[in-house]
Amino acid sequence: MNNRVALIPILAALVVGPAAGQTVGHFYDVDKEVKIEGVVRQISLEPRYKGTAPFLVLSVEDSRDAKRYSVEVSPSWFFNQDIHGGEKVTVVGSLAGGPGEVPTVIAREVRWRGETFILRDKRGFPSWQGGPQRKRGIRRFGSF
Amino acid sequence: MKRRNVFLFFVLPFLGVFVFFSLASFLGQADLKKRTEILVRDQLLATADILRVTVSHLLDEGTPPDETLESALSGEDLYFMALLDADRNILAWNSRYEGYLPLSLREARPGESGIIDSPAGKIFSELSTLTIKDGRRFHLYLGYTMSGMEEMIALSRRTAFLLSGLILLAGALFFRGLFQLQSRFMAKAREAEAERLEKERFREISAFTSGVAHEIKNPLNSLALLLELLLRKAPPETRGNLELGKSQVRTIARIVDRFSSAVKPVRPVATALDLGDVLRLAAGSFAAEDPESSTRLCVEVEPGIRLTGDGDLLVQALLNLLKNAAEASSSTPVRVEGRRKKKKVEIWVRDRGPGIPPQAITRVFEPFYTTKEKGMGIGLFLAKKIVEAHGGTIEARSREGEGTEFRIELPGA
Repeated sequence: MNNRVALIPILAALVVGPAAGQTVGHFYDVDKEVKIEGVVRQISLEPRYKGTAPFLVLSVEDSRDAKRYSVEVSPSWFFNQDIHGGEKVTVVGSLAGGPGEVPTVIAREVRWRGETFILRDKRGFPSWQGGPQRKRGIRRFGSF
Repeated sequence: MKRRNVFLFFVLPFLGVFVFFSLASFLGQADLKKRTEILVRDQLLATADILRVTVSHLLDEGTPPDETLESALSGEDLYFMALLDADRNILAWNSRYEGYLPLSLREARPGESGIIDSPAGKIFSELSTLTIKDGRRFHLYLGYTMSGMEEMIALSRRTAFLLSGLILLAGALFFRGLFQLQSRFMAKAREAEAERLEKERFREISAFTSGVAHEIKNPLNSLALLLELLLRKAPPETRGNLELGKSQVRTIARIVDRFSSAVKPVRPVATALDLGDVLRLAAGSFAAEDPESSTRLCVEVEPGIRLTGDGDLLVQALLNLLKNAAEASSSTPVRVEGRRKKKKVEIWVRDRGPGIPPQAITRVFEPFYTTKEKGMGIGLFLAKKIVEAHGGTIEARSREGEGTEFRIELPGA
């Protein structure tokens, strides 16, 4: 079975799951930063925050202890890269309350194919949000 | 004033004032920022107090934490908000940005406030404690945007930059103008100095020439008289030589007269004149002196042009110009035109001769300057003196191979 699945938005949209049950702890907690080095096992697009585009979520298996993490990368339009299952990635992010038993990591930095992608700043501010010109309404979170 | 002095007295003080203005503006900006921050902080603390009371009230009523936050939310200025229990477990939170809640629970101290720099601008954050009626304690974490303040400071900074730019631009334009004015003034001063020196030199030459002429003319008169007497008594075979001697003496006398007239000041006796009469008189004099060349002369004048001046002197000046033109062109016509130009009178004398080289055209009115073998360099100089004594101007233009034209401008009557 070919596990190198190209991330094509149309196909990816088919694997979008239902809205994940969020927990109140699902935010970028600066006190809970971790670093994971592992292999991408599954790629999906999931609606993570109300009113926003689906997020790219990677299921990453840690190379050290084979533990699985659900890595929340960014809105799919922001991380516009052709990532495949089986590829090695290094993720720096914050442990957050996830939808299931699988721990969730909100990624701040993703290193992949020798490149580093900065997704958030050190406090967790999303890079795709731009500057002060882009005003948006408050995102509801934690009350799903 | 020299350029260096202009720089010292004008540019340096301007730059000093500009630097002082910039420094004052910069310090003013810093002070404004500090004061505004304090003001905004106080205002946000007051807003946070109100929000805290609202949240306490909602919790007292038994509203769940998530609904409490939802109900308490107000305005676009709130970037994030979190409700924590007494053990600092997050009960509910909201954020304008996905997953962004920049709270370090390890470091946070209740009652503390601070300013967080985020890519979206400065955020005023505060962690405060609230106790509801049943005694339970909560923490409320708030983050307000300070974009209004930043916009105001940015506007003030932009205004200061714009003002500085305008001052610099105005200064640059002013000093450019000043330097140009100074350059023009310097050029005029140099010209005036050269003219003064020239006049002084001319006065010296005049005095010398007048003296020499006076000293020569007396013996010349005696010599002419003596030759006349000898001619009466001389035998016929020597009369030819004596006639030649007499003629040579007359030539010397004429040259001395011309030199004398060149150095004498011109004092016109002004009367009302008709330009046509003046030009015709000049043409008549020219015909009398040089009948052959006068056939090439063509005079055109608008009728009824009146001017005030000394007729004899003006005729003399024109005659000199005509002789000069005729000598410059051996067979081509010499044209004289007279016309009115607004309140002035214009006279043009044109020849179709070989023209005057550019290096010589600027010197044609200088005394004793000539390019002709037989000339003395007095005719054009005298013409200029006469025209200027009438309050007019004279200029020469020439193109090599195409001829020369002299333009006289005189005040009209």
